[in-house]
Amino acid sequence: MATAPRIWEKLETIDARIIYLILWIVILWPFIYPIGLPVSIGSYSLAYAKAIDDLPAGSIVVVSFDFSLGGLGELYPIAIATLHHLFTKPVKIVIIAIWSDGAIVADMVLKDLKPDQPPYNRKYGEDWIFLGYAPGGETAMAALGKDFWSTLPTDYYYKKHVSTYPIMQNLRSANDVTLLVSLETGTPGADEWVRQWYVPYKVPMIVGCIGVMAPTVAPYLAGGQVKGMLPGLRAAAEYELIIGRKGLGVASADALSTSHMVFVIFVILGNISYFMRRRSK
Amino acid sequence: MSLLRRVEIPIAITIIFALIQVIPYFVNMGPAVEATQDKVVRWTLIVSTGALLVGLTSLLLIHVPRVTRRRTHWEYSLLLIAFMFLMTIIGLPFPELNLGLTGYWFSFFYNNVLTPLSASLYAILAFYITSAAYRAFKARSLEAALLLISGTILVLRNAPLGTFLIPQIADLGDWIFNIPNMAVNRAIMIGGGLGAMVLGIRVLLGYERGYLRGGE
Repeated sequence: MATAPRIWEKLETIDARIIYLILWIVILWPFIYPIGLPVSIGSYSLAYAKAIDDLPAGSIVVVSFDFSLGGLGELYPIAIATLHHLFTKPVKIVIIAIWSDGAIVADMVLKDLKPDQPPYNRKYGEDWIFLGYAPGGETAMAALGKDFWSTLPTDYYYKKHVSTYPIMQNLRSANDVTLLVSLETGTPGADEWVRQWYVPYKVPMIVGCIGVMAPTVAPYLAGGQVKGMLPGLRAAAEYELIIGRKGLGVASADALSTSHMVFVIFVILGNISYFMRRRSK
Repeated sequence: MSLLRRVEIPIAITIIFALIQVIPYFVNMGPAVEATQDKVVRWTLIVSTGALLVGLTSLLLIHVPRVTRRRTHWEYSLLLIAFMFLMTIIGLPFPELNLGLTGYWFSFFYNNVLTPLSASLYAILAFYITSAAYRAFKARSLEAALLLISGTILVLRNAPLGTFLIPQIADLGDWIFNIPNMAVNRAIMIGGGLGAMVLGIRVLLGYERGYLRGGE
């Protein structure tokens, strides 16, 4: 009879390295042997895609990279898919960064997508522009809302004054922006954009964020300030399926499933061992 | 007391510049006030850029003594200082030398050192969280049980396999996300907003002096 409690005790104090190893295997396994589980599409992802689909031709869309390298795992697929979607629409795209690393991450995404080449063939300075990093956090958002030209006077790639680019002729303040896309991992992010762009200028926005940020963005969805949201890797997979361009999101969906399932199994096991040990006492 | 050390001066500066920002946000004060507001915003941007220099100095003040006095893990401090200067130098805007943010060397170090390191650091969280959840995520009380159940449902809702095996989990997860979560987050936001407002009023009235090196 004494062996039974010992088993539960042992199970409860299992070596963390065993958990790490099991998790490592279940994350890696689907990348080598994909399972191809179906991904059901949620309403937030549909709303995110619809906000882009509904843009009238010639609209100005500002895409802000408000994240650093830490968020790359979840936000890179979202950034790639969002920019792909935008570049296939007849809209003008202005890319900025409120986080210092955001500009470099945006550059990585743009180099991967190559908007100047087929299938996009979008002309730099006319159809899209990359203005780089605006320092100052929320203050920079407020300054951009008032005046783009003086806040980010030159572009990121050629360091030419923005007034020399045709795309910037119709963009002076947030009043000229049809949609704001914020890809973010924290502060400054949605809260600050709502304060500085939605409240004074009524610029609608959509948000791509890491999974843990979803609860904080959710109230803005219900309030109508945020039109759509892609929280984390699962949402990235859903969005890729909506726009018909399978990428990193879909590729990671199986690993997401297996790792989450193992997490749940471990939580259940931990609780069973806890209750069994308590009962045996 | 010397005029420069008087606490009233920074308080007066704070009040004046805060009012320049706050009043035009709510009331149309005409072009002159708006122009002043814009100018102050631009000053803030310049000051925040200058803060990078403060950060750099602060890091050096912490890590240089660690290296010179050979304190525990001084090697990491040396690595930090070396890479800080390396990235600063190769980030200087000299495109003819392949330097600058879009230059070869900056991209090389960024893509091959910083990117994998940051991604790995973030990825390690998954391992720690699973291990920590196994040990600590227990239904020890009614509140803990509720948190455990709702957390598990949301984890399952986020996994494609979860919604594939139990389709109802999607609706249940959405309900938890849209109703209880939304209500709590709204309450936090409203509470935080009210708190920020009170803090702002206290700063404007000169009661809050924490930003003046601790206050009274």
